[in-house]
Amino acid sequence: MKFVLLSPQKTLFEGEVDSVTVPGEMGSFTIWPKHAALISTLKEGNLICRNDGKELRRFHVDGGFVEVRNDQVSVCVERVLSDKFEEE
Amino acid sequence: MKLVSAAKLRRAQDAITSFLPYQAKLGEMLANYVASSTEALSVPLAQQREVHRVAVIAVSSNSSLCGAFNSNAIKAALQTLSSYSHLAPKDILVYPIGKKMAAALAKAGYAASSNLDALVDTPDYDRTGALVDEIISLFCERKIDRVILIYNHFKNAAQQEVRCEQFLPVAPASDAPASKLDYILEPDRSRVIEQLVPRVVRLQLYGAILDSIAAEHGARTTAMQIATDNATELIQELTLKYNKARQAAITNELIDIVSGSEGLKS
Repeated sequence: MKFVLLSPQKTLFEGEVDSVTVPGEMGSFTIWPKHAALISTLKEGNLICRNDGKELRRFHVDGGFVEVRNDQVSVCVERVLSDKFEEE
Repeated sequence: MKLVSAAKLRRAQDAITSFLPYQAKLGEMLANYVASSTEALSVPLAQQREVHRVAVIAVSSNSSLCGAFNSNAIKAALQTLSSYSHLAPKDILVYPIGKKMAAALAKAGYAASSNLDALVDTPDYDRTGALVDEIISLFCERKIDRVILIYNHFKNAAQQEVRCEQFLPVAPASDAPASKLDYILEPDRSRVIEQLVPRVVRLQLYGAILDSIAAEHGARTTAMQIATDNATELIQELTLKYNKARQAAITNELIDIVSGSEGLKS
């Protein structure tokens, strides 16, 4: 499935992934292919995308929105606080 | 000057190009949301009220030498303001962004509440956000009933177009043929829309500022190009005059010498 991470400054990530973990407002959750259509608000937290079972990139985001539609995951965040992942 | 503004134009265009996908995506989310819900958009920010107090956000540049760029925006702003002249001056709030606009509005008798000139030099998402939050809270407290946004839209490097948009209350684009998907909304419908709408409103202003900056540099590049062309033409004209004068002086001298030597011979 396709994943795109957008911020007002630039497109931070765009590519093929097989799962994305996002910091949902109600708690962190992972989106796999064939997920139902969804719009959710995000809170500050860690965002991880994986491909072939391996981790591709990690971001620490400050909240925003995720939309899932037709196997396309789009995340809009205001800011990525640092590219470094913070241990929880 | 032309090269400087051309370089700045390129940078401004890059800023817009990297911002547009984000704005498009959030706009699409909102459109999808509106299309998937059966009820009308009912958030405080979309509330239509009778207009008793109005706010005008007008964007110009900080410096001149960019053709009719500023005067067009100022004209549009004053026109908009005069259409609300039936309201008392204290019921009209102005938010000029850019020194030229602030000066023109102050001259027309509309005092700005704050100085926002820095936003044009370095567009900053957080500061724009703070301004929008201030306007949103005024709107929600019913201190203003309508907000209008005026800026120059960047059509292409040579053309700008003044745009006058209703900023608040929000009018969601219903023309988008959004897919009728049944969305799961987390945590719930009202929470999503409460967060989504202010975000989209913030983006609108930030986008307008970026757009105006690109338009400014486009206008300045064109103005500088015209100035260069004019100067080149002037130089050509003056060179021709200079050469003519020099030639005339030489001819006169030759005539003097020749007639002098002719006089000696006889």
